[in-house]
Amino acid sequence: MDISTFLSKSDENYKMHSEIPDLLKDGPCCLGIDEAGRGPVLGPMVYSACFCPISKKQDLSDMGCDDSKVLTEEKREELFNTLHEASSKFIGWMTNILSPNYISNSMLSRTKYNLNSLSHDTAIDLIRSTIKLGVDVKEVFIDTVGPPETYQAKLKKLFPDINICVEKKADAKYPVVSAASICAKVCRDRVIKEWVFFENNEMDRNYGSGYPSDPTTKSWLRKNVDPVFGFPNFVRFSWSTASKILEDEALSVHWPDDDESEGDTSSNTPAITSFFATGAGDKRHRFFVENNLYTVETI
Amino acid sequence: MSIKVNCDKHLLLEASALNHMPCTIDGNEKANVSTYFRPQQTSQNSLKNVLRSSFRGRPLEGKTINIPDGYVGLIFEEKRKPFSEDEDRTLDLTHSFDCFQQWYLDSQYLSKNTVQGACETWTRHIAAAIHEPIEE
Repeated sequence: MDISTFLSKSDENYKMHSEIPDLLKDGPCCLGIDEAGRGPVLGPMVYSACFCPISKKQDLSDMGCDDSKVLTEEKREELFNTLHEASSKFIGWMTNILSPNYISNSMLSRTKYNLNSLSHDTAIDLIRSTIKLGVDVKEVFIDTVGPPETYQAKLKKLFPDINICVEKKADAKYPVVSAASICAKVCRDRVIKEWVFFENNEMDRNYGSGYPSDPTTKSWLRKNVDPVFGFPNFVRFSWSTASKILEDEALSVHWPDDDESEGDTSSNTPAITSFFATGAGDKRHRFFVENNLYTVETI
Repeated sequence: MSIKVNCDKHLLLEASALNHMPCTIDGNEKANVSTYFRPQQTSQNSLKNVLRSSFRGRPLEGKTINIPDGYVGLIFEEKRKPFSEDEDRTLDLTHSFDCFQQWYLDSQYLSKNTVQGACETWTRHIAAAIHEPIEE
């Protein structure tokens, strides 16, 4: 897994895949999807798909693929290497690294794109891209944190010819999801460890686990505030942990859509006194109003 | 109160990379622009000359606005703020520019195109008409 391209362009997402052995194109395959790093305020969210022929399911469990969270980091690395070697024979994987900048941008755009829709769309894209590579996908297993029923129905509609199974804790039940979970976790761990700070290459790297509850992460955030720009692009600005710190430590910033986001409908009702006004309003000519031309009165 | 404008052309510097942001920042200090602000050319070829960037995690779309022919952009600095409204003020010319980056929140099509509209309408249609000497 070569993450150097991502690290040199970490504002953008990066999608990569293993070699695709011919075996995966010739017979029906199962595909598992899992993510790593949904909760942390730091670093990317990594989505992985792992796939193998349905007839080779047993080989996956024999390799010891288990829920990646219960495995140690060394054990995960080791399993990933085994998976990667097997990729030349009967296993393939595809990973999409969603950059923290992409996550912030999505969640903080004018029309908010929430994390659930973002996760679903990423999973859908992984299935589509795998099929595009020629893999004969017949079964899909996905781990989810949200309600599985609506998600499953959504996928069924998009992929009517594939058996879809969306379950909570699928990573502990299905070896192919465990394998995906290992790919995702190994990738995220490497990215976190090797992150290149464009803002300052001597940046203090003692940022803890990245989880909002981790005191080391919180104090790192507090110490690395830029008064104007806020945080390096390693941070998810859309997390309340990050935005609360900026409220205290950075210059305040006002956006044109600030009022809309408050959703205060009471302000839409005009004051009662306004009905008694003379209706003079803006006396400037329409031409100036429409072209945004104003007289400069103060500097 | 009068305003004095110092235009010493010998001290004039060319400004590099001016960014006009779609938000107000409550501060007036030096900013680490080149380290934190990294505009990228969009990958879609259909949108030529359109840049993408982020500020405080929010997505921005940028467009270069050229100062119209026959005009020049100028930056003045007030080295000493007046204490009262009656005091005379002095502005020093520091930089000149011939273009700047106009940034929009999300997309230029979702935002009011205020600056570009005002800039073009004024320079193309009005300024010359009202400032040119009247010939009998």
